[in-house]
Amino acid sequence: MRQKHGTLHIVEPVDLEAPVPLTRIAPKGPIRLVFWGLRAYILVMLALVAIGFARGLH
Amino acid sequence: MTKIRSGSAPVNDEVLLRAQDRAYVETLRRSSGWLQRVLLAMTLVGPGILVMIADNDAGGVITYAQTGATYGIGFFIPAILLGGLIAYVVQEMTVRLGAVTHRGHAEMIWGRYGSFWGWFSLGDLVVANMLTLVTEFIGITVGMSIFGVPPFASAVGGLVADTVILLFLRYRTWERVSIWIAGGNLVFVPLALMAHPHWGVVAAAFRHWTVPGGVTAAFLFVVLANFGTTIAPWMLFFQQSSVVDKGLTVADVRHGQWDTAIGSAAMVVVAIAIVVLTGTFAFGRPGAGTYDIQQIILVVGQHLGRSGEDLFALGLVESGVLATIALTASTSWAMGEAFRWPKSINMPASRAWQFYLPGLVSAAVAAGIVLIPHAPLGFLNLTVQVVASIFMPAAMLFLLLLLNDREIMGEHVNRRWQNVSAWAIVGLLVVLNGLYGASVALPKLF
Repeated sequence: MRQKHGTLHIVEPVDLEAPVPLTRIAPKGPIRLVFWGLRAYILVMLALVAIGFARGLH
Repeated sequence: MTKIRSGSAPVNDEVLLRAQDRAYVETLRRSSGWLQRVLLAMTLVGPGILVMIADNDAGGVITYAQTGATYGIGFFIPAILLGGLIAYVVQEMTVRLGAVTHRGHAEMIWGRYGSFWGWFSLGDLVVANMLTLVTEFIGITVGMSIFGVPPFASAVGGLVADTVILLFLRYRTWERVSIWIAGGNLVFVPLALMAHPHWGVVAAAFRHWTVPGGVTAAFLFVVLANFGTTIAPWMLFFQQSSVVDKGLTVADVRHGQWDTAIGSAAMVVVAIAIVVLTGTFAFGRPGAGTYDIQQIILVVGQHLGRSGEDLFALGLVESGVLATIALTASTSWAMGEAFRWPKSINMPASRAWQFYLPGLVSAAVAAGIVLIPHAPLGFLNLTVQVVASIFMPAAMLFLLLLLNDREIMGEHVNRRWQNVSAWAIVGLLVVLNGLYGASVALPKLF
C-alpha cells in the first residue's frame, strides 16, 4: 500500500462517483429514423466489403 | 504494488483502493504549491495518452510504413495531422461521458438503447478486438524475429507479459507500467531524424495537397486503412472504461482533456515519423508499393545499419505489446459492463475471473492464429483497419446520441461546435466508405 508522507487532509466524501441511473429510451422521430439508417448502412457496407474482398481488392 | 487480497474481510477491495486514490487526488487538489499541481496532473493523466499511443499499434505501424513506401511523404502527412485532430474530438467525448456517468461505453449502449444494439456493439467490439490482436502478435513475432527469437517464443512471451500485467497489477500500477511501455513508441522519431529526410518535401506536402497517382480503388483502401488506424471503435470503449476504472469525476475533465490532447500530439508525431522514414528510404524503389513489413525493415537496415533495423523492430514489438494490453483490457471491460460482472483492474483474479477471462482468451486465440503456417496475415491486417472504419460511424452515432442526452449528461452535453465537428467526422467516414463501396460496385469509376 502507498505510504503517505506529509500532512493528511481530511476530505469530504467524493460525491459524484455513483453511476448515473440508466433507463432505456424508446427511439422516436428522427432518432428512430437514424437507427434504421444505421441498420441499412451496416448491411450495405458489409455486402460491399465482402464483394471487394471476393474480387481480391487489397 | 499488488492488488489487495483481504481473504474473508467484508471490505470491498476495489472500492477501498479507489477511495485511497481519490483521497490522494483531493489532497493534491487542495494544495496550492506548484509541485502538488504537477503531481496532480501526473496522477490524473493516463487514459488519453494510453489510448492514443496504443492506437499506433503494430497494425498501425505496418499501415503507416506501407503508406510511406507506396505514396511517399506527400498526401498522408497532412492527412495524419487531420486524423490527430479527429481523434482528439472523438476521444474527448468519452472522457466527459465516463466522468459524468461513471459507466462504461458498452454499459451505456446496453442500458439506454436496449439489447439489440448492445449485442451489436459488443459483438462488433469483441470480433474487431480479436482481429486486431492478431495484428499485434504479428508485430511482436516479426519484430522479435529480427533479434533471432522464434515466433512461438515471442508469441508466448507477449501473452505472458499481457497476462501478468493485467492479472497482478492494480489499476494505477497497470496504467503506469503501460505508459512506460508506451514511451517506447517514440523510438520512431529518432529513426526518422536519422533518415535525414528532405524537410522541404515535408513542408511542400502541406502547400500542395495532391493525391499521388490519382484516386483509385487501391488508394481509397489505403485511405480507409489509415483512418481505421487513427480512430477505431475500441478506442471509445477503452478510454471511457479506463476513465471509470480510474475513478475520474467531472472535476477531472479538464485534466482528461489535456491528457487526450497530449496523447493525440504524440500519436501524430510518431505516425508522421514512420511515414517520413519509409517515404524517404523505400518510396520510389521498384515494387515498393507491395513491400511487406519484413522488406521495409530490411530497407531501413540497408540505410541505417543494424542499429536502425533493431530500433525499428523494437518499436514494432513495443507497439504490439502496448496495444495487446489495451485491447485485452478493452474486451474485458466491455464484457464486464454488458453482463454486469465485477469489472475493475483493481480486483484480484480470484474474485473477478469472469472479467479477466474474455480478454485473456481472445489474446491467447490471437497468439495461436499467428503461429498457424501460411496464415494470410498481411491481408488480415488491412482487413482489420477497414472493418474498424466501417463500424466506426455506428460507434460514433451512439457516442453522439449519448453526448446530447441531457437527462444523462446534464450541463456537460456537447456544445454546438463539438456536435458540428463530430457530425462532420461521421460524414467524412460515411463518404470515404461510400466511395470505397462505389469503387467496388463500379470498378471502372476510378
